[in-house]
Amino acid sequence: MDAVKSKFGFEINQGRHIDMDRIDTRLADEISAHVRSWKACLNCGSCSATCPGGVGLRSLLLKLSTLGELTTLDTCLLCGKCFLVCPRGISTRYLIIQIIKKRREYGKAV
Amino acid sequence: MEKLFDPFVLPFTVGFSFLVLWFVYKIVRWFISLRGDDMKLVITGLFSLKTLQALVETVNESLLHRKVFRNNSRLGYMHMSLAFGWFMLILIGNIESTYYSGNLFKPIYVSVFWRFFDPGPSFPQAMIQPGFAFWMDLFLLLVLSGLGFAILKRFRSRIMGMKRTMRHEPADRLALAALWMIFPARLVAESMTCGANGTGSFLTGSLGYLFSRFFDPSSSILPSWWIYSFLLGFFFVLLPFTRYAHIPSEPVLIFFRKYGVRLSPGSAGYTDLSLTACSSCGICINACQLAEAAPGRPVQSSYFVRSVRKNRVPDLQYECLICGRCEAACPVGLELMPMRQNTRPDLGIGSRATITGKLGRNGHPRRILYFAGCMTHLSPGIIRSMSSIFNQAGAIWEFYDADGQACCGRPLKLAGQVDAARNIRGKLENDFSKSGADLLVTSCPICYRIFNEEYNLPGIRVLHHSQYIRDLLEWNRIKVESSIQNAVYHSPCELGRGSGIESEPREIIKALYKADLTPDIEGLCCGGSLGGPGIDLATRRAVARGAVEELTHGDPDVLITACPLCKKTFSAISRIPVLDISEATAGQLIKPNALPERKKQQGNHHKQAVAVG
Repeated sequence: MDAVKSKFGFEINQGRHIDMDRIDTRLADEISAHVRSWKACLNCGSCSATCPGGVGLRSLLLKLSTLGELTTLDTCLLCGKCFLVCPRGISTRYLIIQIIKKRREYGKAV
Repeated sequence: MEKLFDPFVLPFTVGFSFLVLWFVYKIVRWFISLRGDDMKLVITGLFSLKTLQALVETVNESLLHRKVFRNNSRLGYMHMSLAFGWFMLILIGNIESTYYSGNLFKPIYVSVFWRFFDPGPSFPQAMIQPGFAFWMDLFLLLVLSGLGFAILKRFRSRIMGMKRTMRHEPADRLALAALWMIFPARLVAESMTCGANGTGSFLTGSLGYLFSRFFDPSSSILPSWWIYSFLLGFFFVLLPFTRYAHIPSEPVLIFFRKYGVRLSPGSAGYTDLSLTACSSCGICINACQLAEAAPGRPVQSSYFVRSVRKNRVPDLQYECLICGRCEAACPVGLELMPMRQNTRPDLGIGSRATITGKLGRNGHPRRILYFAGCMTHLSPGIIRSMSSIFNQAGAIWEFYDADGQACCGRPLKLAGQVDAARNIRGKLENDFSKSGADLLVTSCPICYRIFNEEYNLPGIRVLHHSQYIRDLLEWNRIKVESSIQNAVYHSPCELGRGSGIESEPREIIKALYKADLTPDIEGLCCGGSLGGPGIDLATRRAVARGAVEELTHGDPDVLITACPLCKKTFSAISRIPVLDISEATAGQLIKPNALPERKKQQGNHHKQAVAVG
């Protein structure tokens, strides 16, 4: 198999392809109904850059609609630095609380 | 004496019996659902001096409403006249009926409706001789005057010094209407009896005389007493289900509190008692800056308490900045901030948080540990200023969270993540005691408060940097030059109201500036608080704008605060420069080369560093 692939000189990056079947925006929709400011997110990454707990909030929010594991929030200190640096003034602490709360409510169904 | 009964007493008696049964049931429930150690406190306190002190406090607060008087005399008079007046009517009515009937153990309705059974002394003479009838009329007049103020407050609240009043629910409105009608109904009923018999003092006697000039009051006696009795009974039946449940429960709260019971998540009984003791008076609405910044949102404590009491916990739990202004203003003294925090569920956020910090260079512990805090790292000017102040004072210090990887745990606690906050506390307590430091200086009031209130740090003194700078100034360890500018000081909620540190920053400002133009008001909320995750940026900005406007009335040149969060929030909207107290101090430090005499003191520096510690 590898021998065949190498002939082409390139390979398809499996990890980054978009699988529309895995997208489920129900949770994200419900959360953004509570935290409306989230809609203003630019994905600039200021939140991840300033985080003292090492939470990658930006990538977490990007992945929210694919419902991957959100265990990184276990190191969040809820200190609110991400809120202070956010250029769009998103209530990030409330967003984090709501993500955890809603996921609990959904349980494993979603 | 003829028999002391008439069927009209029944509505009152039924309502009153229901109320007594409910109250006894509630007291038992409150007591048995206290936490075990709280229960012991109540039992041991019951036969101590505390009971007497609680009794005095009950008279002062439940009857005379002294706390309300202190803040607003018109409002205080309104509350006092209704509560104290009604109490005196009951008391004097009881004494009068016991005196004339010669029976101490008579049914309760006898003293309540005594004027019906005994019309009292004849009219014109009773006006001049102050007997029971005179005092009863006087206190009825007091109650009626309070009622007038209450009606005025409902329709023109600004006259009573209230910008806003509570929007009540239907049951509360119904009970309010019944309460308003009770006293005029009593006046009419007593006047009918007095008019028909030619008796009564200045109020009931005169009105009765007036009635008798136009019609024969004797036929209206029974109907008017029926109305009075019905209104009383109706009010008593409604009372447990409305805000008027605070009338019997507030004294119970005062007693429990005096015995040392405090609000905690495990104490269901005390929580329910606190919720019931809220009178929905609306004084907290007046104190809350969100009433201006987010008009129409029922986020204030009285609305919040009501929704919890009725088992509706909406997202109101996150819509409060925990600034504590309502708690400071609450005439019942409810622990509103812990109450709000206890309803925020622990979701396990931060359960695996790691914290790293520096304890000493090359294994050498330092005397002073500096803890900047997360927020201070977003305002590096404070860290630079503290560093130059430490160095100027010759202090031997270590910067614990130089890499910004530490947190005190209070932000998690404010958001309800109690377990994670406790883990962090354990880790930091361990680090601090290992460090060998005897002084912990922090630049963040949020950190200061939790270090001071909850951390167990034997042998380590915790100081906010404003206290530390004040001490350095007092002991001449640093020198500053005075500026020609005028300053205004914003007292951060966690530092001023939360930890009682008001005077230290003001003393520094006196040394630094020409004049201190700080207005004499309860400390404001900057709007940046970590307490309210559910409040969006626009509302926060509105709170901040209101606060800055209030603070800058005296046209100061600079706004000084002592919290990195307040500084960040105000900087975004203030027209005048906003500085932290450490930045202001560092900016006006007189450098050592300008102070030749300091070199001679060099040898003493180490000793003094210990003294500061």
